[in-house]
Amino acid sequence: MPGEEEHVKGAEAVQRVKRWLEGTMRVSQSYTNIDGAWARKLTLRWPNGNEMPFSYDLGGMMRGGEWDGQMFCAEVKWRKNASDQGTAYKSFLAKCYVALSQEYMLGDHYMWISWAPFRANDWDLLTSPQAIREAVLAESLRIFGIEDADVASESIKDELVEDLSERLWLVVMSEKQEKLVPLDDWRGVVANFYNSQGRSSW
Amino acid sequence: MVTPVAPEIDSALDHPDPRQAVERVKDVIQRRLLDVYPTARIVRTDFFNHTYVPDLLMTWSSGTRKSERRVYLRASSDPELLASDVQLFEREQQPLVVPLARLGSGPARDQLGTVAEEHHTLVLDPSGLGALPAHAPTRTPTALASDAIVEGGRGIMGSVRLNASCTWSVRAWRPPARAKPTPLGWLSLKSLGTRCLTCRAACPR
Repeated sequence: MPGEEEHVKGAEAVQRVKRWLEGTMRVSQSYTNIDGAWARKLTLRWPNGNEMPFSYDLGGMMRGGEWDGQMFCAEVKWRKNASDQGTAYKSFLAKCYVALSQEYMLGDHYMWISWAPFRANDWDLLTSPQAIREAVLAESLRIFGIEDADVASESIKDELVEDLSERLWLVVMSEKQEKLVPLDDWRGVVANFYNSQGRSSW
Repeated sequence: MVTPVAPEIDSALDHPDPRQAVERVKDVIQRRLLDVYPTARIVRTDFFNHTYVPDLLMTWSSGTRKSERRVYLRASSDPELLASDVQLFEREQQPLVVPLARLGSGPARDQLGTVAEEHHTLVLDPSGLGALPAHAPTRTPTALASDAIVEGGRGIMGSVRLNASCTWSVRAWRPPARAKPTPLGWLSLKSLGTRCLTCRAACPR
């Protein structure tokens, strides 16, 4: 079944992203939304409308450098080309606005990770406050319970929009890039180093 | 005696803060492993559910020999995903993989068992962890079996119950220093038949 096949590919894509992020050794903890108890932590609800749930595909914690100890959540899209990403990304922005407004625990960074670019002509504007504002307005009924765009516009918090704009990541994967990570034995050296630095023992 | 671990794990994971959930579940697993094997030293890392870096590092001494097992906690109990991870491990590290939910049954589980044996890995799900008896002052055959499983077991340890009626050759439980991975011991269990814990071959005796 095509639908089921897409679902399987989607799950595989999430695993590939997880492994790639871990391969950089800059992500210390991560979990997917098919991992039992973790699915609940990756799920939120629209505050109005039918209050339906939505979820991120992956979440976790970063390590080292300027992002040490910060949390992230990610939407993963297995696409060969732009496909439906323009629409899906707009919805993603609105969801991220909701998450940030709820001080979502995994919301230090919001990542859109795909295998193909989209909306290339306004690529540089995809994380702009204006793009977020438009996305929020398109979901005004589910976010504010207000259908009228002018009225809803007044409910948008500018500081949240600006803040979200800084927290967004756009990552375009490629199969070769997935392999462009430290080799297993190099990672082994790093892993041994961190093992030897274990932070507590009984 | 079987000590249920699954409810403790579930309760730990239920914490809404993912960071707290990770710390709490590590507490549960660390405590449980030390109940079973109190002479071990367990070091925690900052990592969780990481493909390449273990969550815990378990070390112990056997005479003059120092040994270690790297403990990898796994958020998923999907046998296919676990098998894919196990294939990346180095045999020399004798990894101990702890899925935080019960493994399902079926061909994928059997395949995971085969992969785990090939990679000298022990997969210990919550029911398996609960089945290992806590350390007792008297070295009962059950306790010795438990030690041997933690020290050198490989394959899948599920809800098999160890009990005093099991028969085994105690002397064979621990490998001599620098031993090749030859059969560590023989365990007679109704549910398993009589099989070596290490190579799963049928007992020749």
